[in-house]
Amino acid sequence: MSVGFRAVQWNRDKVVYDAILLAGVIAFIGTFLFVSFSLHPAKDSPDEIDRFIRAFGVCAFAMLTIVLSIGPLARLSPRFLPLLYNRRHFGVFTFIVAALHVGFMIEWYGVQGNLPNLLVELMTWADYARFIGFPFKALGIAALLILFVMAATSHDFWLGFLTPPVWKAIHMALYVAYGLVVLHVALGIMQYDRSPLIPAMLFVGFGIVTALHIAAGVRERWRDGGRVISPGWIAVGPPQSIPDKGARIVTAPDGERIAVFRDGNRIGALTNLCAHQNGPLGEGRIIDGCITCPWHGYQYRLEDGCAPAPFTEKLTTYRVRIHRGFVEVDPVPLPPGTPAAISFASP
Amino acid sequence: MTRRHRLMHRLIWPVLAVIVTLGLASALVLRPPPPNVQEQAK
Repeated sequence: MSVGFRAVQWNRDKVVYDAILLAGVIAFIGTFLFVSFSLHPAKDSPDEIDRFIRAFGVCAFAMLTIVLSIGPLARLSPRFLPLLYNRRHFGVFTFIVAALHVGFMIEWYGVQGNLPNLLVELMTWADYARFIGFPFKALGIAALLILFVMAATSHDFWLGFLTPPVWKAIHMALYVAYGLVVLHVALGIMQYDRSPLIPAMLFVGFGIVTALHIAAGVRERWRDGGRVISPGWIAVGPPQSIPDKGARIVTAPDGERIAVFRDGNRIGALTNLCAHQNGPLGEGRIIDGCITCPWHGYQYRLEDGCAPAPFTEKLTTYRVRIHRGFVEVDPVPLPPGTPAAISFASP
Repeated sequence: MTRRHRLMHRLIWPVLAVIVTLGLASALVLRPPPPNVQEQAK
């Protein structure tokens, strides 16, 4: 993996993904504005701009909800993996829509000649001690800053430069951004607009994201298999219990996960972390003789955890053995790229 | 996800869920009544 800068490597899938995303955003905002102006024609220019603020704000909230739902959905069903493939572009689009929401808000103040009021609102420090009356725009600005950092570091250059664990940790701030956005709406527009749609949108959105994460977490814990047996090997199960061209995931005593793959009568154990974005390698399949990460299709050989040429990524491997008819894994990691796969005699 | 990420995930989520749920519920309960209700009360 190189940390040298390369422009986004476009392929047909990415173009189709982004085209559908853009069409969805335009359709959502267009429908919102059409319905809004049809039901209540704008009284004046600020009222007109207010509709745009709401349209882009609701769209950004919906997009954030979807972005946060993609991870657990892909864990629960591989049908959702195509959504995960280009999730970073979804995140960048979300930042753009949220930034336009802020842009219209600034324009709303501008057309009324009240731009200084925005600053006064943000700098009335006493209001920060209140709950109802809290400067809710500050919460939105904080969320936008987090989205900006994430969008700015979304490129593979930053992924390589920061290393996947650090990059992933930074991008977990999206949860904080989502919480800030929910409170931004709850302490903002929900206080002035009595429409039941606003609390409904917040409860449904936050409820969906929470329920999906709990469901994915419970399933993941249930799937974590393997038990440590004396002297330190982890029992996986009979060879046939590992799906052909698939894997079973076991957890080492230190908490890290190991993916035990079977390809016919060959068995090999590797770290469950893809070298690209630390994706769950054990949820992938063996395609064209290579273990293929379900997230972005990075491939590794079963034999030694090395990516096929010309790629240079190497994964940690683990020793495996067949003992009394059971596949067992030694949880002590081998240096990345060490050959460790074995053959077993079919019954 | 690495073990540390899972730990972070398990720490962040419950805390965030409690803060947001309490904040959202409080904001809903404590919001001021609509103007016409306020006028009637006067």
